[in-house]
Amino acid sequence: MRGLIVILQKELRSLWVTPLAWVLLTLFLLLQGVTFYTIVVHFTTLPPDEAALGPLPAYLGQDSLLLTLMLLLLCPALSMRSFAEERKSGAMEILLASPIGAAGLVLGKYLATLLTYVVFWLPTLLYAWALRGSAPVDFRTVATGYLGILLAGASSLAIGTLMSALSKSQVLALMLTISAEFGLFLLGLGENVFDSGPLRELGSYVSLSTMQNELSRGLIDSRRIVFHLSLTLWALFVTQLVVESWRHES
Amino acid sequence: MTQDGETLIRASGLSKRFSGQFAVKDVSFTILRGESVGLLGENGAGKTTTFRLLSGSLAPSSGVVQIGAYQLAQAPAEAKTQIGYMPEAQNPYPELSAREYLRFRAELSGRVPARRVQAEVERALRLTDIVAGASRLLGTRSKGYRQRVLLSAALLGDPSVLLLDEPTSGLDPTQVLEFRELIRTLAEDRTILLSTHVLSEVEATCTRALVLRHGALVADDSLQNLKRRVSERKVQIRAQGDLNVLQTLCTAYLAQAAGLEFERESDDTLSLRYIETDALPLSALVNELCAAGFAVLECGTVRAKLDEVFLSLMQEQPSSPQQPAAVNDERTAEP
Repeated sequence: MRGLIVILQKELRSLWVTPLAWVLLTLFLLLQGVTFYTIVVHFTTLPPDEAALGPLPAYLGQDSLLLTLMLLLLCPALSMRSFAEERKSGAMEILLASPIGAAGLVLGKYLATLLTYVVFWLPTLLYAWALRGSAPVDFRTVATGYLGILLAGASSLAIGTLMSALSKSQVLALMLTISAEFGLFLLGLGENVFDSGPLRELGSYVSLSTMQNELSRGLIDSRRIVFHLSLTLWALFVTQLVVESWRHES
Repeated sequence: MTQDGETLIRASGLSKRFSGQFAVKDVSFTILRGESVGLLGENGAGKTTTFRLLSGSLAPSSGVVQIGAYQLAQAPAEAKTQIGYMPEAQNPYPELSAREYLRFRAELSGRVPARRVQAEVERALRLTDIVAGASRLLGTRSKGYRQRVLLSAALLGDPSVLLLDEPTSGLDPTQVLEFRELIRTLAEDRTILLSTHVLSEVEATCTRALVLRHGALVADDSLQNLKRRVSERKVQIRAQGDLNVLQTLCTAYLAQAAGLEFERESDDTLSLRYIETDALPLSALVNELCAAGFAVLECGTVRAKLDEVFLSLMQEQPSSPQQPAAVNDERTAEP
């Protein structure tokens, strides 16, 4: 456990001491601010019955296009350096020779990116606080909306961590993660393409859009939570196997 | 668990294969507390792979590594905690300062209690004389500075086993001398295994050498014994006659000889030295020269240098991995 915390602290220090995290944070908050402002302005033009839910569910759902775009770019950028950089520089040798096991190493690095992801989203909580006097704010739906964001980010970052372990180049890790997430996004579009059948079911099951639209309205479908948690655990487990395999390189 | 508390490194039948080829083949040795041992070998001989196997960053294809009382495969965390490891060709995190990096390594090592980390980092910084500039980012520092940071990191928490792969690479001559002194001091109550291409460094810091060739251990003996062994076979001969003819004849005869040196002493006298082997006996050369009409003024053995020992070992015929060529179990420590 101590090893995990040591890795977590070092990863957070490395992430935040470089300009990457700050540049990403700035761009992220700028984009979120513009999106939120646009939605609020749009809601002021709607008749009262259509604007009954308030702008927050729309922001957290966003028909999930902006959210998907955010996940496609933000999560790969945060996770790309997890293992790739250290493998390239040779620093991985020290980590493999340390008493920390592969699980501690993977979890430490993963949690650092997940915490950073959470920090990115934290300032957007102010949007709900800012609206509370002038529009209806249901904090339960806000909470479930953010749960969706957390679940989607957790699985995306786990996939990114795996891709970083599979590659010695950060750029390659970035591209691989974007490809994997884009693949999931396309799979999710299946629910809009097929009228019925297993492909539509599958599309509906993995669709980030559907999940986020439901959660931003307070609807919790446990199948989607299970899907993202399973994907996260699977990716982290495979990453651990990959890291372990470096010791058995042959 | 071992009954022998004095053996700090034990490698038994250690082999590692990459793509079906042996990088290290059936290597066995033990290193006792207080010994400083040099690991020698040409590029690609398997030195770095051996270090990686001993440090636990690479698992062997077969064989066992024991560090102190623990087998690396069975109790990796306990075994690794005892090792201070400085790998070759490292580029420590450029975004961290030396102090931050050492703090990370101290916490990572598992042998420094949390309350002692700061004090231990400062001790290691002083030990390798890198206190000045320890708060600046490593990415902005020289290679020599970074090398000393890595050495500091290996020393954190006073490990009982030090594995140093090319530790003086990038250091200036003054730093190399300081490093040698440091190794001599540290070796008093630790086990040190270091690899280097600088043979004089092994002579200055080690009492014993392991020599790898094509992944196999071809020698394991005290430096004194290794030198003596080669000294007994390093021969010198002085002959008189037409120097050009004499040199051509000797060069042709000794084409396969190790450590061949010529010296023209005068217009008609040539002195030459080489490592004698069964295939190239001195007596045969003397007969050859006499038969060709040259006068042999003197012949006999001369004292060998470590690089000649190394060359001799590199040119010896490979032996069976089960019976390494020059392992001497009755080692004698050098004074």
